[in-house]
Amino acid sequence: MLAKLAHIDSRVIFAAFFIVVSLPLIFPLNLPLNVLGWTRQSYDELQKLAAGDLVIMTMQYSPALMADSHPTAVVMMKHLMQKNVRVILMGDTPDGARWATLFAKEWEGKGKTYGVDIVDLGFLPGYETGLAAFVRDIPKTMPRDARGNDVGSLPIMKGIKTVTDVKLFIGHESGSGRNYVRQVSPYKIPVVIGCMTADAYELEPFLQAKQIQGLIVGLRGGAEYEKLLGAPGAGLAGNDSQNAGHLLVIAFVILGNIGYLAERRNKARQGGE
Amino acid sequence: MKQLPLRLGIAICGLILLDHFLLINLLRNLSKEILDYAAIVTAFAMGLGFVSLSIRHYKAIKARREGWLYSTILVMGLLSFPVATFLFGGLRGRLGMWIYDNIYGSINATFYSIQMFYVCSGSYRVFRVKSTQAVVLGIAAMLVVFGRTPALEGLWAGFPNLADWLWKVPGGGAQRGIVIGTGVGTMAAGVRYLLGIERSSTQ
Amino acid sequence: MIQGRLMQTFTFLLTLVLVVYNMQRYRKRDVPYIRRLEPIEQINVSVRSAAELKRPVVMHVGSGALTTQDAVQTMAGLAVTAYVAELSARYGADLRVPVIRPDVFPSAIIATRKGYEAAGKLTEFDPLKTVLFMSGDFMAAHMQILSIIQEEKAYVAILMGSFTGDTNLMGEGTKVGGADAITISGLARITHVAFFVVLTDFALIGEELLVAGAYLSKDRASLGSIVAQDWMKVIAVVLLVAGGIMATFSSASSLISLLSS
Repeated sequence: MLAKLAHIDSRVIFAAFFIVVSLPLIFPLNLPLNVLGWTRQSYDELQKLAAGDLVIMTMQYSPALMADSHPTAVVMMKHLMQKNVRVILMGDTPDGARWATLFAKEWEGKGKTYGVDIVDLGFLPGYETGLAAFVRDIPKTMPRDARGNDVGSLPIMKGIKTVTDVKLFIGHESGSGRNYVRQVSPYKIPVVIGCMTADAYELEPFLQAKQIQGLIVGLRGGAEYEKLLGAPGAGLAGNDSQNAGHLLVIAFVILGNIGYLAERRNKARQGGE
Repeated sequence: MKQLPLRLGIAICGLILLDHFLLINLLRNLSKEILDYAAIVTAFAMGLGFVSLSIRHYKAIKARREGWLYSTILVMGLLSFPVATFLFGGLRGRLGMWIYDNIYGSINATFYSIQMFYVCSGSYRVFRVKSTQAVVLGIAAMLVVFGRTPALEGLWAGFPNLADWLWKVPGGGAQRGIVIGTGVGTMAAGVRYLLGIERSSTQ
Repeated sequence: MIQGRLMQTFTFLLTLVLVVYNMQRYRKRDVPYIRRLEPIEQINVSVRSAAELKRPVVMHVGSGALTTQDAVQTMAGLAVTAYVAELSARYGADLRVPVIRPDVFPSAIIATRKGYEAAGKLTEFDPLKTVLFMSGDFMAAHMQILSIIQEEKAYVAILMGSFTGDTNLMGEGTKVGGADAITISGLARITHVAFFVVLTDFALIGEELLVAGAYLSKDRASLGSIVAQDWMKVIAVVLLVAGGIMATFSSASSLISLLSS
């Protein structure tokens, strides 16, 4: 009987996972959440900014990676807008540019002035090569914003030539976080990266080496940031789901091993007979 | 003559490589031009892929092969976005953006979330105590998962620190070893391609 | 010289010199000892079995492009593609080479064609039937590839190249939904290689993938370049140990400044 636990149909696993992960989204569990040092470091870096400071925020993630990265981008944007920091939004992938447009529209609707408080530069083509050119000469690389305006005519872009003219560079990566380390960090301006969970330990050595000043990891990082800012959102909501999913994985692994050991014992008994 | 494309490729790659190390304006401008051409060639390759995809699915529809209805939906999807954007407001027009946000974005996110089911079934299938190595792997993996589950911190507050230690010290050490090997391998492989020794994907 | 790239230049030139030296050295000597790479050896066995059982072989080089830092992994995957194509043509196996990136598509056609040519079966090569452009979109393409593997009950799925978030999907997707394909994988991306190692039956880790092309060619000069890689690793280990000793007893900052100059 116990041996059957070693061969649970994958459809049963999928159904159980669906139920366990969806329920906390409908009935929040408000599970406890400790804030990790990385997120606190990133939060402190943004806290250093003053009203009127200029920041670049770029996004790479696609809708597929929205669950992991978008809560972080949303809460950081909220933090920047609360502090009346001016933000240059852009995407270093076509999908990322879409989030820049959505953020610009959202905050324009909430009272921010486009071209003064925020600007959407759109898609920066060329990936790392494009980023290398961008940090060296911003107006030349992106002469027009996403709405077709000449960047030179926008008050927010006045006097901006290179990346050293901004106070902070924020990149929401989806696999190419090293581009920011290679191309932006040498200019000695603070860099904060919002990364996918899988890339956290690839980028962590750069945090230790002080090549980047902050790292916010995945959905959990976004949830922690929301907790620090006191602005609950999709991150904290997703945190409960993620917890429940982890617990289910642990449960299935334990059940699988119980089944496996029972099966092995039965085979040994049959062999002995 | 047969060697000309290979030699041209090697020369161009050499130029771009030199641009990475030397600060010469002529080289920089030349390198930028070449990278622009590479982007144009990639766009042509997209056209080639479009043609291949269309022909394959058109043949499936014409022959009414199994799944031809899905091929019809694919071809309709393939054509609808360019038609919608060309006729109604361009790439950033209302219809184009509506299709992107409500169809592409939603489907993309849905497909990616399918992975989570595979994580669960994969963990169930793989973490079995079949050998000493498997036991060590399983225990380490479970401890890391415990450390990433705040709900379990009530059991023992040390789980997050243990998970961190496991990932940074033994895991990090192994990872950095692989990264060094991969880095060296990438350089050597790059040199092999630059010298034209490995040519399996070129004429 | 661009500031901050002196050491990079030196390292590249050293690699170049060592590779050329070892290639010349082994042209005239016995083939250097390269340990057996079990996943590569399994490819031959699996493709032959697939042909006998009349089940398809799927060879996938991942979602990397030829214009990014992962290009080397994709090209290593293409080298394996040529080998798999040769075996498939020789044994009469039904080969599918799904491709995601448009810039990889023409190279995949060339690699597959070369394989058929090496087996003397060029007339049997139909690019439209064998090399399948799936879609430029990552997830859509992988769903199509999994549907080929699951619905057509592929016998073996060879996943070697540049994979990112698709490692989990491909590693587990080839085992559920009616499929039970043998999976042979290879990846040099550290963030995702662990998924392939646990989920697939055979896995090449890190630089093992990058030497696949040279290993398969059995060409002395190419194998000599693998020896050069090992010499570079020895130098890296010496620097690591030196740095560790310096950091333990005094300070490694002088070594760090030298290496980052």
